[in-house]
Order: sequence, then C-alpha cells, then structure tokens
Amino acid sequence: MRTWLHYISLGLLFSLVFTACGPDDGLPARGATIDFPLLDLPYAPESYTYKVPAHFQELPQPDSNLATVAGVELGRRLFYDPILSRDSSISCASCHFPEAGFTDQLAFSPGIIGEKTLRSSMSLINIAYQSSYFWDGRSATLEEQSLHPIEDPIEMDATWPEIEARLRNSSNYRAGFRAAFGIENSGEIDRYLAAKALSQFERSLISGNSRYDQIRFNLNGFFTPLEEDGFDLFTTEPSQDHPGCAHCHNALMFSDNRFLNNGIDSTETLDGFTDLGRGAISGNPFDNGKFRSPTLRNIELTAPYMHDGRFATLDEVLDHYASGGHYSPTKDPQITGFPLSPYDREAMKAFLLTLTDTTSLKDPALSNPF
Amino acid sequence: MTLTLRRSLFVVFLSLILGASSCGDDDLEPTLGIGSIELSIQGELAGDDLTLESRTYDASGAAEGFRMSRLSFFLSDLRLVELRDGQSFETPVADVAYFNLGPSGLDSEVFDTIPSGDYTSLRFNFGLTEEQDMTSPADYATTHPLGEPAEYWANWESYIFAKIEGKTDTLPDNQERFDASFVFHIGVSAENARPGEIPINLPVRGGINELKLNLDVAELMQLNTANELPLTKFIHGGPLTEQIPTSAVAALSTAE
Repeated sequence: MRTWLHYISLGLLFSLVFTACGPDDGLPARGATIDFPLLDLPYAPESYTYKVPAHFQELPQPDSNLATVAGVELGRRLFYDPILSRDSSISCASCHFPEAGFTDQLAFSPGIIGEKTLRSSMSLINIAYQSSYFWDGRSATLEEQSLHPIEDPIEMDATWPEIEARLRNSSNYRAGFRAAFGIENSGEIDRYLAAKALSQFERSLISGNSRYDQIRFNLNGFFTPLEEDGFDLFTTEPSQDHPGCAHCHNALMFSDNRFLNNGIDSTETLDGFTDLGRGAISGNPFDNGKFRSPTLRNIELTAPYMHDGRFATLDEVLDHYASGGHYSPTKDPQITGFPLSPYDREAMKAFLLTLTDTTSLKDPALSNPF
Repeated sequence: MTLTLRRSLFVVFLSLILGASSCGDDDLEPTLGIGSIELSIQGELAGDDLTLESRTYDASGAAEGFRMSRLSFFLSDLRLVELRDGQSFETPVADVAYFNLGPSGLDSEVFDTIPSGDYTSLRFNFGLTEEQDMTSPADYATTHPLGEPAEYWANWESYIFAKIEGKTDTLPDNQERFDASFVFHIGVSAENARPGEIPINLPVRGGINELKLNLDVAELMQLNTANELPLTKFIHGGPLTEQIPTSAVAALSTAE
C-alpha cells in the first residue's frame, strides 16, 4: 500500500513540474499548440513600396507574395529573431548582419553548436534581383531558400513543426501573421507564410546609393583619377592589358547571375574538386567547380572572399585573377590573367571601394527591431 | 400519300441532307484562329548536334581541338512572311528574342498570338535594332529578354548581341588539356546587327506550331577558313568578331 501511494505521489509531482514548465503565457509545452481564433486582431493590408533606386530595374516579386507593410515588418522580426533556431541562440542576422553588408565576414559561419558551415555566408544585398539562391543556385525562389537554414543541422538545426508551434504560441507572432496575411486562426501559421514574410523583408535589402551610383546615375560628384582608372580597368573591353571584371560582375548588380569556375581550384579531372558547387545540384559534371558570381556591391565590407573565404583581402583576389587562376577542366574561358602593375592594383581597389553603400546598411527599416 | 405527308417527308429529307452536309471535313479541321509558334534553334557542328562543354571538336591550325562553352545571341524584329496573291505580308512575331543554347546546343522560345496563315519565310535581325540598343536592362522587367543584365555592357551603354566562348587545346601533346580560351563578344553598336531571311514552310491554324532552325557553328565561326580560333587566346575584336554577325545570318537555316 505504501509503495502504491508512493507511485501516486511521484506521478502527481511530475505532473505539477511539467505543467509549470510551459511557456510564459501558460500555453502547452513545445510542439503542442492551441488553435487561437484571430479574427479580432487587426488586418488592414497596405501594399509595401520597395525603395528601388531610379536607375534599377523594377524589383521583381512573385504575384503569390506581393509585399505588404505588415508582411515586411513581420519578415524583419523573423529575420532578427533567434526563435527560428533550435536553441533560440542564432537568427538569420547572425550570419547576415547589416554592418557586414549582410554577411558575417567569416569564411565559414558557426551554427548553433559552433559547427562551421561548408561555405561562406553570401551577401543578401539586392537579393531580389537574383534568379536563384545559394552559392550553387539550389533554390529557385527566395521563398524556397528561406526554408532551408532553419532545418540545416549545421546552421539552426530546428524542425519546422517545432518552429511553427513556437510561432503559433506567440501572441506577438499571431498578431504579426494575422496582420500580414489575414489568417483567421493561429493554426494557419506555417513555414510557408514564415518564408513569405522573410522573403518580403529580404527583398527590401536594396543597395543602390554608393559613390558609384551617385557619380554614374545621379551625376553627383566625380571619380578621382585613381578611381576612374580603376573603373576603366574593371570595365574596359578586356584584352591582354585589361582585366575586364565586368564580364562576370556586370553593372548594375555587379553580378551576372551565372555559375562559373573562376580558377580557384586546381585539378586535372572533373571530379577532383573539393566542392562540386553547381555540379552537385545540376548533376552535370561540367558544372563541377562552378559557383555563383556574387555581387561586388559593398565588397569593402564582405571579406573574406570566394565561396570558401579563402582570400582575406582584395589584394589576394586581384593576385588570383591576374595570375589567370589554376587549371581545371571547367575553368571559365574568361579567366585568362592580365598584367597588374602596382598602380593598376591601387586603381582597381579604389574603384571597388566606390561600390560601398553604407546608407542602406544604416537604414533603420532594415535594422534589428528588438 | 397526302400532300401534307409528302411535304413533311420532304422537310425531313432536306433536314437530313443539310445535317449530313454540315458534318463535312471542314469541321474536322482545327478552328481557324490565333496560334503559337515554338521557335527552336539547334546548334550543329561536325555533322551532329552541338554539344557544349563535353565534346572536343577538331580545330584547324595549330590546336589539337576545341570545346564550346557558351553560345548565346539576340534576334530582333522577328516577322513571319506570307504570300497572298503575289504579294508578301508580314506578321510581327516578337520585338526581340534571346537564345542561350543549353548543353545539347538547343534553345527555344514560344511566341503567342500568331494569326492563321501559310508562312513562307522568317525575317529577323541578328542582334538588336538601334532603338533597342539605346535602352538598358533598367528599362525592362527582369523577365524580359532585354532585362538580362549579363548581356549588357554598362560602360559602353550597349548590349552584347552574341557571346561565343570556348576553350582550346593548343599543346601538341595528345592530351585533352585546354590551356587557352576564345571569347567572342559581339555587339557594342547596332551597326553590328544584320538582317536575315530564312525560307520556311509553316502553316498556322491555331494551336502550337513548331519552327525548327539549325545554326551551323562552323559557318558562324568561319572554322573552315579562319585561323584565329586556335591561335588566339582572347578575342574581343579583329576580323572574325566583325565577320560573325554576317556569318550568323548565313549559318541559320530551316531544319531538315
């Protein structure tokens, strides 16, 4: 009898302990949700107008996810909120923060347990203008891309059902999703709406107010002679004397949205690359060793460079391209090397620094709301 | 048989005849109306479909061989021509189309709202018109052919009409090691656009209609006569670059 009473007491004790460990608002423990009706919360959708510079193309956004003021704001909160990681320790902004041009200035980024990602975090600047996402282009849309880091075991290592439960259990997010998407109950909050909100916000990360933009398009100021010479080297039709970087880093985005092998790996065979890059996605061995040509906007802030951050400085990058790179079967025909005098080097760097745009990086609308 | 009955039988007989005649062959044909054409362009080289990246082609001159990496170009002011009563009538197809041949040397574009007709030729420009070349990607949506920033040379404020890129094996060592490259980028000025006309046999009666063209890469790059390819490592000017717009027009033909 005493043993029986002992078990009953223990059972009651565990029940009390577990019910006391629920979220602050008295909701069930993680993974469990109550379906809250949301019709009493405000929903007054207002179209969001992206701040697109006049010399940029119209910002592309899918008809299925046209931005609203509430959607962009919800996306901003999600972007900066560590709630999306398993242990709530890191957010999207941990690897993409404004001061670093929405990179993290690391070769490889630490995830929630300190394990390093396999590639460098890409700049998110002007990401709306990309035609695919990640270094290898494995996501065709920004909405799809947004889903991946949350469940990547090296990055946020969460599961979407768990994150969905957290968001449904948060009164702030219930209001945010209601305002953004007009949902009628909290059970409608899911990964796809979260991805839509994140995408709406990320499309607002627009940079088009660098010195280059001011000079070229706003007719405000002039390049210095050194910058002007660097611009010529960067853009003049290539010959043996000109790098012609603009062939792959083409204005206005300073990227051509293509996947190229820029000769940073040396291998005689198609399968000799340490990272197959685009080839791992397309299955075409002639795509092995190819990676997205990234934007050079804000390049001053986004070191180290390349998909694996192997070059710490712009000097190292210039040395690489001037050398013509290493041989590999898929190296791009445009990587041929060029003479680089000390003056040319300084001129190229001076021009590249004109692509820095701190105004967008300091825009309060893009900053951490918490 | 009464007159009324005979009249009734006549009406029934007439109705049957009319009904039968209304079920003639004409109704079995597609309804005349608006259709689409799928214009496909297949690169050909060495008697076979062009293969980018993976196939090595014989080269004249000193090189052991070459591989093609990229072949893309604009066609503009595309029109279908129909002959009626000895006169030719043009039907606009598209202001501009961008072709970027894939690994098997093929690309295609679909053009809608093509009226029914028996079209006998396709007129076009290789390259862009002067008006188009004076615009920039910022003037277009990203999905428009001219909204493609990779094909715009910003500092000269002009589109690159065509890109032909590849790699050459210049070392006589019997090894496939492509140590050099060739890059022809044509454009810079609308003067480099060339008009062309290809005879076709394209009846359109609504629906989707295929129009298949071949692009003879040997003709395009003057491989049988020019020695630039194997010997030149990087080309953005020179005789071949200037010749390519003209040879491109000659290189396009209707698929057999």
